[in-house]
Amino acid sequence: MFRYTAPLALAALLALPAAAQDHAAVPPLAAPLPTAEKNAIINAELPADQSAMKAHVMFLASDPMKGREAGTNEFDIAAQYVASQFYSAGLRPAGDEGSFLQKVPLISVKPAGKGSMKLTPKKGAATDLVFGEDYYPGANAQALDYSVTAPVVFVGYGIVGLGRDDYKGVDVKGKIVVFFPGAPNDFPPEERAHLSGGPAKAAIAMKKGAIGYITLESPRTGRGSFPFAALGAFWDRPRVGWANKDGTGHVASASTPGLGMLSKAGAAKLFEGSKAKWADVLKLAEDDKAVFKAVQLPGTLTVGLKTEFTPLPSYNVAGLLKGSDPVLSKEIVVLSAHLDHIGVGKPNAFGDTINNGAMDNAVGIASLIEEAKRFKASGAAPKRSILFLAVTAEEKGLVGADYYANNPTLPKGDLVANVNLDMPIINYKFEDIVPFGAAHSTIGQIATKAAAEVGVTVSPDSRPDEAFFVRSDHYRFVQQGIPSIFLWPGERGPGKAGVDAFLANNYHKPSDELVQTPAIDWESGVRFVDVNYRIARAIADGDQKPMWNKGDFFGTVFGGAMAK
Amino acid sequence: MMRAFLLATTLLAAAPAFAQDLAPDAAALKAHVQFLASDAMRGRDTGSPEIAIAEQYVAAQMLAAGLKPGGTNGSWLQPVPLVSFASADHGSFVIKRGDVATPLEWGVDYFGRANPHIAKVSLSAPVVFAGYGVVDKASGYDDYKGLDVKGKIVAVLRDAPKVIASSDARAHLGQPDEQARTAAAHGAIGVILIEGNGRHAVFPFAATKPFWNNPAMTWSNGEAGGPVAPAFAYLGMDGAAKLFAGTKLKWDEILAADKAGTKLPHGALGITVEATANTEIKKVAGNNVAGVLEGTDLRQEYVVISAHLDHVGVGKPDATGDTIYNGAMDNAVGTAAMLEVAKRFVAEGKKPRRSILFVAVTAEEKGLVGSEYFAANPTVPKGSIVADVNLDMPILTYKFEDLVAIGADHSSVGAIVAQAAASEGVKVVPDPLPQENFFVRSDHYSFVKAGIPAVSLDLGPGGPGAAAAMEFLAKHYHQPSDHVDLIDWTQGLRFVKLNFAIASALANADERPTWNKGDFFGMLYKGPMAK
Repeated sequence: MFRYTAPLALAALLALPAAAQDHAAVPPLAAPLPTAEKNAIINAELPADQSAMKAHVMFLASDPMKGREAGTNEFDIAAQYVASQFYSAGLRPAGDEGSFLQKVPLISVKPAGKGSMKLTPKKGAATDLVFGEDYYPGANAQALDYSVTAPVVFVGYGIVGLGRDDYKGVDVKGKIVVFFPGAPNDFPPEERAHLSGGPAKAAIAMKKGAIGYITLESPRTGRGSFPFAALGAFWDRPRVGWANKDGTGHVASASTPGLGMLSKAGAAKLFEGSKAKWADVLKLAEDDKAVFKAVQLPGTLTVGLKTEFTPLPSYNVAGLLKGSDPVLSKEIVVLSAHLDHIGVGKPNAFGDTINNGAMDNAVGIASLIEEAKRFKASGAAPKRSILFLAVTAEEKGLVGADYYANNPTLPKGDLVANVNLDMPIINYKFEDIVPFGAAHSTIGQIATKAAAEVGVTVSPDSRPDEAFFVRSDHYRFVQQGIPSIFLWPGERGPGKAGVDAFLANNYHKPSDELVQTPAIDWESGVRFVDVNYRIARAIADGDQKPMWNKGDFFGTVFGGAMAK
Repeated sequence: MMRAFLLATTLLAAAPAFAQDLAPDAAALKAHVQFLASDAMRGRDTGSPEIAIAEQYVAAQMLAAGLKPGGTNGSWLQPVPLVSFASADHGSFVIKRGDVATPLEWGVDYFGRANPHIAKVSLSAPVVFAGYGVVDKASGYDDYKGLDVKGKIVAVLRDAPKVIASSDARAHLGQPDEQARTAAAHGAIGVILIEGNGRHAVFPFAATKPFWNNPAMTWSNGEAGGPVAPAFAYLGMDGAAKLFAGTKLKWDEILAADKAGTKLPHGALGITVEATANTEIKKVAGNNVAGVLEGTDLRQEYVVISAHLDHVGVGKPDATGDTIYNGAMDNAVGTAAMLEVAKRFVAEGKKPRRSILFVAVTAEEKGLVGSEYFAANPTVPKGSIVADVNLDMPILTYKFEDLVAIGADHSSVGAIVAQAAASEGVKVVPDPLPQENFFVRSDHYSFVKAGIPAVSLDLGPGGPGAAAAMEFLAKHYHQPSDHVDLIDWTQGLRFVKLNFAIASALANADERPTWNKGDFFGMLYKGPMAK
């Protein structure tokens, strides 16, 4: 599960996930158990299907695997493991050149140096904005050395949609847009999470013809908004992306790169001489529902960026189960789970430095492999084909999935749905499931029906503020217009306590191990595999391929197949 | 398979990959090898991060197969206190005849030898030449008869006497460790090894120079079998001539007797040797991995199925620039076969009478170290292991017709293996390459040294076998080209089936296996013996 961060890398600043901060009732992390006691738990006798699932987790989350960070040899070994498990399960290779692996040209990108921002007013001398006081530069993954000079237009939140048009009355063609981060709180949570992000706003800016964007320091804090000063420690932290065939970094909104962030002081300089007063804008921005008047600011801005690249080659693993229907087998349902975790980090209270990532996401990968075996064992291939996909660099920002969704090894138009497995918390006996994304497409009904077959009900997202919908790999398929769902055991009964405890004590910590507190419940694991299998099976066998619900926000934004 | 000595081999590119749709059980076998021998696993060298991952893999596969942990503390692993040791410097070697001191030249006359237990060896003592330094109770052969070596240094030829008929026994007795152990048992304080004719022919003294400080490995509680007098120096033939010069023994005569196979002249040389040998000793992490399938009425007894998990890591590039010694045949496929045998037992649903202990051992390529540790410190009660069947580098490149069970001649395991193999239509034939000394070069030997009847299974020379084995040994053995593509999976499955039959026969037999009456190893290591 990808840690939710601000548009610029701020991972360490947000040391706790939002949900964890108000759970004082959760007991603190327990000390590691004595060896023999720990081994007794590890080796408690289990039915064969539970042992099979546990064995994957035992291997992938073992200390020698060092937390499977993308770009490390341990990740590559994990990829070989999944490839051999796929092979053994009877899947056919669906990676590059007849192998199970798809090479993913990951790159680490960071600003090289402080860059420059120069403001040239209509009249008078140009002034240099001051690094660290007025601005922090962005990094343009497309060029080592990049500069642009253009007029600047203020466009509020930079959002067009859900009844809002921050670009009303201005022409931004060939200009730089500046906007506040975030989105109004009264947007539906998943839409808000999507529209709060830099990439969504960049896409809007590009559509409007802007040639770059800059984020402004907001008087508010919260999702996407943080004090400018906080950026001091992180402005040049590397971010991971992927490289185009020509070696440049892929930027989704290629002609509208992010140029950096301006402080309140920097913004004030930009607004000097404008009929819109910065002080008024700032005051107005205190209200999250504020409607701003878009306005072109006086003068032009020249931005210079230098960017550094480091290749970090990695792999997705892809195996195909061919469908049985002569027509529908051309259509492919993608089952995905991320294989990477966050590697080795700071020692915890007990000196453990290895973030094993048992729940996140060795359990998801184990489910993926066991589902492949279930499809085989059923003796009847599904009507549609199923692509089993283990992706890299989820923790770096859903990068492996983004690479696959942009560069699929199978025809993109044939991918009809994605069911994603990411960090299902199986430390309790679940009574319900939460299908993130169910509200947006016909997969919602399919999932509800399939879950009902085994007595599991479907519950709505109880943590909308976590915006899980945009925090895992299925979102990359959503961005390609493919209806997607991402499943978690629900929070009924013992669920809430289990989820709270995991998020507070184990999420992205060395204690996310094979043996953790509360303990992983393998019976729940197998039930989860069963439910997920039934949903995937129902999608694959359905008469109709999944469609976005009529008029759905995501279906509309990304142009997917829509129900009439 | 542990390297016996270093030979230049032809380098060839890997055979082309063959794509095929395999049956699920063949695919399962192949999947293990694909993983263990993938480039990312970097040749699974002992002490590397990748062998630690391989250990976890085997443990997870054992769990999935339905075994129970058979390591220490209720875990799957048995930590092995590995020690790596290498000569730290050239040391020194001075011969003293009365007041005349004659220093030998390093690299010309002698090499210092590393010692895993004593970092600094410094000796000064009279020298006694003790022939081969061999005592064999079975045949009554005794090089020490009539010699007083207490507190002295013994010099011995690095070989074993030809009068001992069994090549397996000669291979055992002619090892420096055994010679040193025997010397210590007679009260000697140090051993000088001397190049004899046999050694000179296969690996002459001068050729060992590039390897003088190559690290070797052992485990830290000392080796099984009692105290050792450090074998601190190895003398080439030139150095030997200097050692014997002016003494009552003639080096020419010793060499001639060695060649002829007659009794070597021996006795005190009337000289003193002052020598030093310094060793760099390092601890290395490693684990054996063990899983148990519990038996029924005889479950207190264990049949061990062993296979080594380690290989030789990353090394010199071959002609294609490949530096990763993948070790698919050696011994990813042996490990894979062991895991698949375990799965078969569970799938069969019928438990064997004896328990079966599946053990993936470490540091085989470093000198059978993991298996030696396991056999000396088993994770089940000592004496409860009734047999070991070891799987090491079955050359699965051809349609095999017969089977070689190295060590079969020594115990009733041989007959049980032959019978079980016959039921699968496979004949057991004698070792076609006794000169390779395979008997002391794979892990079953460690069990032999613990008194446990043991065999290593290799595919036989029948049909295309002899040529295929020679081809593999010449082109791929301990080369980067030991890749997964070399393996014929149909034969792999036959091999699994065969091993399953053998393990079942051993586990279900009424009587536990015994050493043949009067057998050399059975007597030496006091194993259970046929009456």
